[in-house]
Amino acid sequence: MSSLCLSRLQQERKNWRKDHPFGFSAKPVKDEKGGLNLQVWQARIPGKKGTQWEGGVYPVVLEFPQEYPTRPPKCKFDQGFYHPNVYPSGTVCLSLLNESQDWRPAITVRQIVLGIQALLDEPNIHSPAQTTAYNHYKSHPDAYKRMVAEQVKKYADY
Amino acid sequence: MDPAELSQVEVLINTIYSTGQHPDAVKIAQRELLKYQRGPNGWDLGQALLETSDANAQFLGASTFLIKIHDQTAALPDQIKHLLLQWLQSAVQTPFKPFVTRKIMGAIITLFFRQHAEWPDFLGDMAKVLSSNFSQVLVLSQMLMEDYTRLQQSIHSLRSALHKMVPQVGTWIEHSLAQNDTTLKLQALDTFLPWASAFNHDLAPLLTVVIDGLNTDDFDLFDKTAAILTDLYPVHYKAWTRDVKARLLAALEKYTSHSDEDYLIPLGRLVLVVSSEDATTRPKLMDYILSRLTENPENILDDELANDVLEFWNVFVEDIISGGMSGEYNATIYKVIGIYWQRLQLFEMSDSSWELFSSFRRDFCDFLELTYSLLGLGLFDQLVSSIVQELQTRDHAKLNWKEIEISLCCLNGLADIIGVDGKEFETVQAVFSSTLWVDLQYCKNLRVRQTAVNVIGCYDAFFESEAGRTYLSPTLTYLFSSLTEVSLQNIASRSIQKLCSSCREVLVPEYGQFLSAYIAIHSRLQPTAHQRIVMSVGYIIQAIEDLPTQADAINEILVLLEARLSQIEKVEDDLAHLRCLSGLGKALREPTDALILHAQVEAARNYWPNEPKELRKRLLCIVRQFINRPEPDLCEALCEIIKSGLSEQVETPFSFGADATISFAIDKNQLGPAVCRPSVVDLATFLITSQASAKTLNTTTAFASLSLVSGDAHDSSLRLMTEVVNKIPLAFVEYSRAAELVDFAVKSLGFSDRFVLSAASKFWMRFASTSETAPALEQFGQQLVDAIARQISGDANRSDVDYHADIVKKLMARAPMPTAIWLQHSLVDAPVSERLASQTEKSRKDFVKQLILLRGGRQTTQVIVKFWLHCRGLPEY
Repeated sequence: MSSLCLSRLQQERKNWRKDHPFGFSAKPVKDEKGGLNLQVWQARIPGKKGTQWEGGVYPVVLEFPQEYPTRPPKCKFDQGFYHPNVYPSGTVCLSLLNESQDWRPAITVRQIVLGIQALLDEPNIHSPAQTTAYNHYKSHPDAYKRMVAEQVKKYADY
Repeated sequence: MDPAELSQVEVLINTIYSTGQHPDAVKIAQRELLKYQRGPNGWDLGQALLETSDANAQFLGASTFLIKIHDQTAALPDQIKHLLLQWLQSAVQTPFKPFVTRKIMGAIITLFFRQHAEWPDFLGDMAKVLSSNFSQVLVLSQMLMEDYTRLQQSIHSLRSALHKMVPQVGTWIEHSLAQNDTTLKLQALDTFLPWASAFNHDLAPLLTVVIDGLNTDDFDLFDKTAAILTDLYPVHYKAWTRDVKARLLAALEKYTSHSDEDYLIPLGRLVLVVSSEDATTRPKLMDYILSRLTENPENILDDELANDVLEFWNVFVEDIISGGMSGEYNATIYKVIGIYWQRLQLFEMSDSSWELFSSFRRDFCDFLELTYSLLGLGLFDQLVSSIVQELQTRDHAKLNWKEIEISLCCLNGLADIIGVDGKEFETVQAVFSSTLWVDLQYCKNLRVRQTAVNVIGCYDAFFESEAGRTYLSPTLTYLFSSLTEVSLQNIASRSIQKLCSSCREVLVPEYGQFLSAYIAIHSRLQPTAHQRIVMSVGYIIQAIEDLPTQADAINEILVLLEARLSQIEKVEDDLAHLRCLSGLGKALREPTDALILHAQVEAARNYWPNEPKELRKRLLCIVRQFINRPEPDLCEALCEIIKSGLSEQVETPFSFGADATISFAIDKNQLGPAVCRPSVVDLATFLITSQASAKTLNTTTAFASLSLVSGDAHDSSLRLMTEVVNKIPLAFVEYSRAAELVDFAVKSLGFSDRFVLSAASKFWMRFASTSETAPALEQFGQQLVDAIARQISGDANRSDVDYHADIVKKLMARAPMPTAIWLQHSLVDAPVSERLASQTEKSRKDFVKQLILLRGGRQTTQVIVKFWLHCRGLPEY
């Protein structure tokens, strides 16, 4: 890992521990030797209160490339996660995480997870990533609501 | 100033400030006023307003000066400076309201920023105007630095000018701090912060004076001093020389004995920030932080410093780890954990407090994980002992469930760190072999039971181990008993599913008990939990070697679901029960890592079609029963049931075969509605894939599948066509409606829907890569290239150009000669669109030439994008 990437991720971790949005968690995963792998973080993003996503806590993996923060991390829900802007592989399609769009090196882990939380209830119809959720959202809102409700139950904290 | 104009302005000011005005009216008045302020008479207006006796008008007068100074790009007349200085003098002497005085100061500072090169003794002038009124001088100095830091761009000469003022400002601050006037001291501290932040090195000597200010009985002064030092400590390292630091640490050690409650927060913050760097060398401060943890009477949710204190201990442990000081501080860390263990025990709280509480607990568990690398197995020992001892020493009616719960919660938090060797399992075993799971049935506290259920799920790897298998059955029995509580169903069913999936062989002897438990509870299960429990029992049934016994067990579940599905129920209920069936079908699949024997495959193939319970027939009957239903979710669930057994090497009752699948797909496609078609076409694609991998795919199945292609399922249809071309290309060419399908795929390139385009692009890339389709490509190539030419010459969206470029690359690589001719025709000889025709012939020819030369190489996309931009009139983009 480059020193820039390492120092930035250490700082991100420190900042996160000091002040992170309520109900969220994010921490580096353990590597094979039991140490920390700072380039891969496991986060838990709660559905925003007052939205149909409320009640679920959604696991997301943040994979930071060697070139971070010049290049953005890849953020992945579980495979098959139901959302118009999540690819079937689970990868989140969000302009904030796109190097050629809104990504800037100053964007923090906190902003990323908050951005993903906002995306849950405010999908970007112009940038769909999976057909099922996109078609439901566009043409069958009842089915969309039902599927989201089921997913909330699946990811309910308790 | 024209009196009429002035009176109009006064009316506007009145509208802005008088109470009860409509917000729109205020906005309009503000807009109008701004026009006057920015107008040619602005300077006069500012002067006139300052001359009034109304403070609001005076404020707007000063603000008018500020706006004019900002707006005027030409040199400002000297008269403005004198005027403003006169007004400041009057404001201090009269005196004006403080907000008016500050606005005048703001205008003067802005003027100074503009004219700093011609105003060398700014501070001297100001001191004269303010008659050495220290309080006002300090306010101005504070505003001066704050306004400077707000400037959008750094001006070197201005910074130099300000730098020269540091000694003077420092003297004023020092002098003010030495006075016996609290208000003046507070103002001096407010002034110190922005100046110290900008020129910390120069103001380092003043730090000692500020630190000495901690020695006060006045809380406001102490609070502000501590807050300033907290802000300055972590960032301005240059100013913190060894001596200054020592002075601060000594002062803090003295103050840690402060007994006044009010002092705890500001002092605590400062101690934490200072100690983060020097924790191990300052035992007194560490003791203080420990005492903050223990002596704090509030519950942790009301503790303002809780997060800071936990962060301190995180940094502390990290420093010890990175400093290689293992062992030395273990006692302290155990003490810290012990304190949190006490403070994080359950207490009566609202749901919203619970969220906050559990969030803090998660943070604590992260800390616990961190300490594991120092404390090792001992940490598990402590937690497990606390549970076991409690269980051993008390009767279940008197158990301290809160203590047990917090230990379980900590074990949950540590579950992630267990390594592949699973050495922690030996310790954890004591919990799973204890009477806990029996005693829990007497526990009334739901949160305790939730935590306990969660522990089982977190330690599923333990039950897969040799040591854990002994406890699998009683643990699962406990989990099944938890299902009676609706609020525990979600987490309990998740744990049951994990354990049954990974330990299915071990559980086979007890499958009857699990089946009975499911039958007893099934009507009370929520949909998600129901599906998980059916799958769990299904996993165990799958591991039963004797097929008739398997059939009996499946039959018992099927009977229940048949009964529920035969009733007229809500869509949600039907959907839930159909999903239970597809879940059962998935659970009956061989695990991916299983070794499959030929005899086993043969036995299943012979048994299931003719078994006496007729499971397969009954399952198909259910599928047929719902075929008329219009809801897309139900159709998808039916397709999932069929898919669940379709790709299995070892047949199951859900392996309906190609004929039944195609028959269902064709019937459902005809019955509709259109919204169901994508699921049906996807089912056909799945069939093609699974038949191909089983080497049983034939043209009949392929033809039948292709008959499902429809514009109602556009991208699904293109994926199906791609799969057919991929797996059995000749079938595609020989299909009677092949020309129609190719036309469909060509037209798809004109769609703006990203999924359709992506699927069409993949289809054409596959089509161009297969030698069997070469004659067809020859036939339809020009039509295809015409469609692409239209898009890459400007019709496509920018983000979609790549899809078309990918096809061009593939065509150029696989069939360069004909593709060159097609491109020449579409782009040069007979341009396919008006936009294309409006480009010069040379540019079109050059483009084709470049594509030919690149022969499908990487740069093709760039060249195509450039041409697209050119056609859109954006060559410089």
